[in-house]
Amino acid sequence: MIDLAIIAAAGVLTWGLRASFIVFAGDRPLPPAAEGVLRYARPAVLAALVASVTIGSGGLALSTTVLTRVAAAGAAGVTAWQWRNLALTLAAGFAALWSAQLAIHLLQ
Amino acid sequence: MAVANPATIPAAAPAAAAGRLDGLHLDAMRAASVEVLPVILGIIPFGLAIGVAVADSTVSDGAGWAGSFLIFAGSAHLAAVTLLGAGASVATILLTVFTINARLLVYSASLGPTFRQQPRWFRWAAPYFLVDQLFAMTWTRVEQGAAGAWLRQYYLAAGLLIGLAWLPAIGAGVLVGPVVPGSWQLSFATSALLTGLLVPALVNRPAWIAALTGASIAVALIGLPNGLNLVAGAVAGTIAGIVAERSLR
Repeated sequence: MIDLAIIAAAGVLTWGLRASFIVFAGDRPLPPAAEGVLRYARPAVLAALVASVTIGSGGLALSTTVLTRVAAAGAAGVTAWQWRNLALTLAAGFAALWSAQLAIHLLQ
Repeated sequence: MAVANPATIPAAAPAAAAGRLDGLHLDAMRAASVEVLPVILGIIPFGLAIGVAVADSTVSDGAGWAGSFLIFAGSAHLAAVTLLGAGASVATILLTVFTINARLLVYSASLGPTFRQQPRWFRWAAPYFLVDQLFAMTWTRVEQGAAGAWLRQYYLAAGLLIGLAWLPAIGAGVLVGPVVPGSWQLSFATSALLTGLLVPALVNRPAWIAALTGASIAVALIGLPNGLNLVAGAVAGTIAGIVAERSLR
């Protein structure tokens, strides 16, 4: 129940951002001071998320599992850079992850 | 994207204009349906992967899937589910959603002047559908002079079609996720997806600096409770980006 309430709150917040100028502020332009924040907040928070999700709660005590995930995320990043396609990015990431796992399995 | 000649868009056409039936602009809906197709093909794998992330997290399947229509924004939905599953505080989750979705302010500000001429019910309903791809489609049309009922029906038709693909795609991911064997490591989908969302945001050198700072701080502080390492990374990264922009100018 609490999960649903938090998701709903995130939804209301998102609608508020979308409605901000369309419903409430009308013709007023975006304040220039806000532009810098808007430009760099997204890469900052997405990178922070990618790094913590990929490395996991173990932090920098790196294991083989973590290293393969980091390498696979790198492969996904290169693919995203080259082709800007989310499906292809997913495919490349998993292809890299599974081949790394297979290689480790065969070497052991 | 197939874009009709601006002259063919009946922005202020009389009621008897071709393709119009009792106030319905069938040509607007037809244009929306055609142009939204590549968008839908692109969001289906994204939706599936978010569904897999929901199934993989400790968040209940129902609440996780409900984000598809309650939030209706993939990257923020994925972040909310990931953080909720990791035990982050409500404040961290909402701050992250706000930061990821802050670009929607730009879309809202861009469409504000045009949508001001629309009826009140539309101005309250339209923001719900405002995702990146719909903004791009609509902005192209607005710059070509589309307005009034034509624009309204174009926007709503495309938005509804995106929703019709989005909700079942995430639902399918939630159902498929648990069936797949654990050795496939489907939880990696979150990493790969977030990477795919991050890369297009790296538009210049300050953006790279923002991202590298955000990632380093988040990793260095990974032991902090409530996802505070993310908040610290986001704040430090944003400041680093702004400072870099000023000093590189």
